[in-house]
Amino acid sequence: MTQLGRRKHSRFLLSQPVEGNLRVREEVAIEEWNESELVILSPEPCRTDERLTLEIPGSVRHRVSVRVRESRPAVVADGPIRHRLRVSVEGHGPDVKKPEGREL
Amino acid sequence: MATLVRSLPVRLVEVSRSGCRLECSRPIESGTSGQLAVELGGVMRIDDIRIARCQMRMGAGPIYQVGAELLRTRRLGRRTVRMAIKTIIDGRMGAGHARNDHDVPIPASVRTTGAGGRSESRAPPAQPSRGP
Repeated sequence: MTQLGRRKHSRFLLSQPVEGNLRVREEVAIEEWNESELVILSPEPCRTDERLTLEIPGSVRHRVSVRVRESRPAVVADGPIRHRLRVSVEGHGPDVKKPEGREL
Repeated sequence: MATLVRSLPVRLVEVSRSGCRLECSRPIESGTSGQLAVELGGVMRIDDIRIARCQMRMGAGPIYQVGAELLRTRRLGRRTVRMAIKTIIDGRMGAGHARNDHDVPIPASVRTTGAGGRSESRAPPAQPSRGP
C-alpha cells in the first residue's frame, strides 16, 4: 500500500550532472507595443539583458524575440504584485507580421 | 494576453522513473510546468515536467534544488527524457555515465535509496562540476 506524498520509485544520483535547459511559460499582459519596444506585465521579475521569447496568440502564433531593458515591480489594481518589463524587440519569428505603431 | 517563454539553464543531478532533481540558479515556483531538454547518450531528449518543489541549497550560493515530475504528455519515444532515464536505470547507457554509490560495478547509474525512502537531497553530486 502506498501513502500519498511518498515516493514510489527509487532515485538515482548521476555521477556526472548533465547540463540542460528548462523552458517555462507564463501568461503576461501586453500594456504597450510599438515597433521596437514592448511593455509587459509579468508575474515574475526578469534580469536586465535577459533574452526571452514572447508568443502572441491569434490565427497565426507570433513569436517575438525580446531582450529585457527594465524590470520594476508594479501593483495592479485589486491584484497581486506584478513586474512591469520594458523589453526591446530583437527579432521576429518567420510568420510574424511586423506591428505598425500598435498600442494595446 | 501573451505568453512569455524563458529559457533557464539547469543541471540534471538525480533521476527516478517518475521525476528528477534539477539545480538551477534561480527559484521556480511550485506548480510551474515547462519543457526540459537535456542531452543524454548523445541524443537531445525533451519532456514536459511540472515543478513539485524548489528550495535553496544551503551554503552553495544561489543554487536552487528543484524537484520535478516527468509528465506523460507525449509518447515514450527515443527522444524523451523518460526513455533516457529508463535506459540509465536499466543499466544500458554505458559505463561511466553514472556510478553506483556503493561501488557496485553496475554499468549505468547510480545511487539509490529504497522505494519510498529518502535520498540525501542536499548531498552534492559525485562530481559537482563538469569541465567546459
